[in-house]
Amino acid sequence: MAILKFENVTKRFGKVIAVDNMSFETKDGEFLVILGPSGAGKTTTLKISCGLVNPNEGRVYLDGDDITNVPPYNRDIAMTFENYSLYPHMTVFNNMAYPLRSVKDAFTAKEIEERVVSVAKMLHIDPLLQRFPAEASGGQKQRIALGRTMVRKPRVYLLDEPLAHLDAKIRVELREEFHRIEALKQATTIYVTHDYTEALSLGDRIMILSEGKLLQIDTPDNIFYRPLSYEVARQVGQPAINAIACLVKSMNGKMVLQSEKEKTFSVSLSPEQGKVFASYKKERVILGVRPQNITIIPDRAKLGIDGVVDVFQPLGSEGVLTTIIGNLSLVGLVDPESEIEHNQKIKLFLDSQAFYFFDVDSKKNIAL
Amino acid sequence: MALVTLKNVNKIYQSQKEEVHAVIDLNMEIRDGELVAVLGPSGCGKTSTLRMIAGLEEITSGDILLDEKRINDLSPMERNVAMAFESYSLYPHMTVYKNIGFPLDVMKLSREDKDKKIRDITKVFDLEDILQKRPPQLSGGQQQRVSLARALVRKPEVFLLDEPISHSDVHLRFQMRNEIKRLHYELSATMIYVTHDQIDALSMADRIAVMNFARLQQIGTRNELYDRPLNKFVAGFVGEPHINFFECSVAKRNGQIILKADNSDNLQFEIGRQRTARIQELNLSKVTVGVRPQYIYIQKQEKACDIQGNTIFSEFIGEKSITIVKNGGVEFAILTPTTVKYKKDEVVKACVPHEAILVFQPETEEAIY
Repeated sequence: MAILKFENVTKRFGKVIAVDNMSFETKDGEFLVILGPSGAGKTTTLKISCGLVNPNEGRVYLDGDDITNVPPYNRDIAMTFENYSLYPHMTVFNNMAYPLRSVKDAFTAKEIEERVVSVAKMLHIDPLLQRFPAEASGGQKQRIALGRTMVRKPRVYLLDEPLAHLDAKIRVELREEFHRIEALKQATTIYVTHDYTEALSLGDRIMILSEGKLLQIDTPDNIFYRPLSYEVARQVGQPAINAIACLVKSMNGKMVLQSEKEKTFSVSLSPEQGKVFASYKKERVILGVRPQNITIIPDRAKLGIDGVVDVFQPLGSEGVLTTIIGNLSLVGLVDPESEIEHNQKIKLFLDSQAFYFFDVDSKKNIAL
Repeated sequence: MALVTLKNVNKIYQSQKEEVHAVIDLNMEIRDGELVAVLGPSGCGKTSTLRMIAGLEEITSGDILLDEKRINDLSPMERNVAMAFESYSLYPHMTVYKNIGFPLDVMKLSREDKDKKIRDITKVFDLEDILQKRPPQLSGGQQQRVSLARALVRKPEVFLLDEPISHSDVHLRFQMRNEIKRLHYELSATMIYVTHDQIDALSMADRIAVMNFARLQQIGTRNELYDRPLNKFVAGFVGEPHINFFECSVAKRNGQIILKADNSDNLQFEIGRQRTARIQELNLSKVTVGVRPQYIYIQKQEKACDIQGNTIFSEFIGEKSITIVKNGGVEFAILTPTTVKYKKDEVVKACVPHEAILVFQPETEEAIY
């Protein structure tokens, strides 16, 4: 059992509020990912969890016990740091054995060896045990740091941006590796990242932070498809969701959203979507459309929105198309092998099933 | 007009102990008005190449031509080539306006002409509101734009860009790529862009020159590099998600050649007649097969399924899902629709079109077509 709970936790550094009245509770054995831009309070949240930082207000509980004032070494919570912090003069084996040896007489030499070797095998670093950290690659160093945390078999793992400094290919490899490490799947793990793909891929749930505030804590599906606010929607997805400030109009009994910047851009809503606006009395709303819900359709199509190609970026499995519609610019994801020229006329289809509506003032998702 | 030609260019660095051959026999032509990205891992010789074109580095042997005129011995100033660097290298005590105008000071322009040039370029980069600020007051993205504007204000014939956007965050990088490409349309200038990031290269370049171990591996469009890579390195370095490689044994069945993946249960690939002939001609018993995750199509029907396996896990990453599948001791990735959720250990059947199967020779790692 390991359930970590924050209750109205606030941490201030001088005038800066790093963590602002935060409350959440992990589930037992959950892989919880904290996602947010730099300065959101992600690392401070981890440090409060393991006791390296004391909160100004609020309480922290582990399985119902108040651990707010328990020192780090008595918490049975282990943290892996972004910069690995390995001891350069010690072999990989000794680095990994360190947490076991630091508690006097807790483990015999044989027990230590068994634990280190079994974790090293799990992380595929067993051939490196007699080498020094300087001889290991970035990806291997990350595994060593992770292994050092794992030998302790703590109740809660805290991982601070473990993949941040690795190059793209190794990041993806290690991200996949995390799916296979049984120890992490079973233990309660809190994982901090600024990369939304890592969060979506790894998290049982994702906690979105911005400026010290918790914006949403939910499953990857709900975070992506049912964001509580524009801010959450903007943090997951690359390129970011299109946001179009619109006037709410009614035409022939149908609800229509017309862009404020560009009068020729309007979309009509289904009766279902119209209902969302029944309790929303404002004249303006922000229409959100994710790039993957914008597609190119043939010129002869009757429906669709006419535009002119601004820039086309063909990538690996998708192409990023920026289209100009009068005063408006829309970003879509299309087939990367498309032959698209700058200034070419083009017709776009916006999947209205995938529209999001955000309150013009609070930026809250009004459909939820 | 600005056509850049590199002929048998070599660069050797001498240190006390050893010689480092940083660029080996490089032949490349960058057409007028083209944006070419030079892509490769660190130490592949891409920055040395750029610095030789700029005139910041001596050429050990070979020639560099600008519009068919040899420029080996011209100083950087005489080359009409501008360079923007990875680090912004702005003057912190000067305003943005003065930083951008700096390269014009040596050109003996009238004050009005100089002012007009600065105003024009700052409009392109949307810097008009911050002209009187100094670099320390700017965000990283703004500094990068100022650095680019300064490189471009001279309207040189050739722009050289050395990882100019590598310090930005993801959202900003996307915008910067759009901006550089827009600028390229507007100025229709020749640009050479050095990067280690394939996304930068794919997104902006007309053609991409892939370098490794000091040699040019291939130069081509995105689609050429994707669908007809010349060797295993190019196939592996370019591609997101990363390509699947299978070590295969060449087997015969009913007179047909089958490439059977080693350590797999029943993972095998058939290729067309032309490549079958080539494999026989070369008398190969082993080859490496490469298949990109987006060219493996999940099929419901029993027939026409070239490969199958059991799911290990599937990761949903927003715009796409990647599913890892196992067949015997071999694992591979498939790009799957986000609408389908796979559980562990589901059976997946998939089709791989012949033309999506890349075959590489075992030792030379050259592609067989």
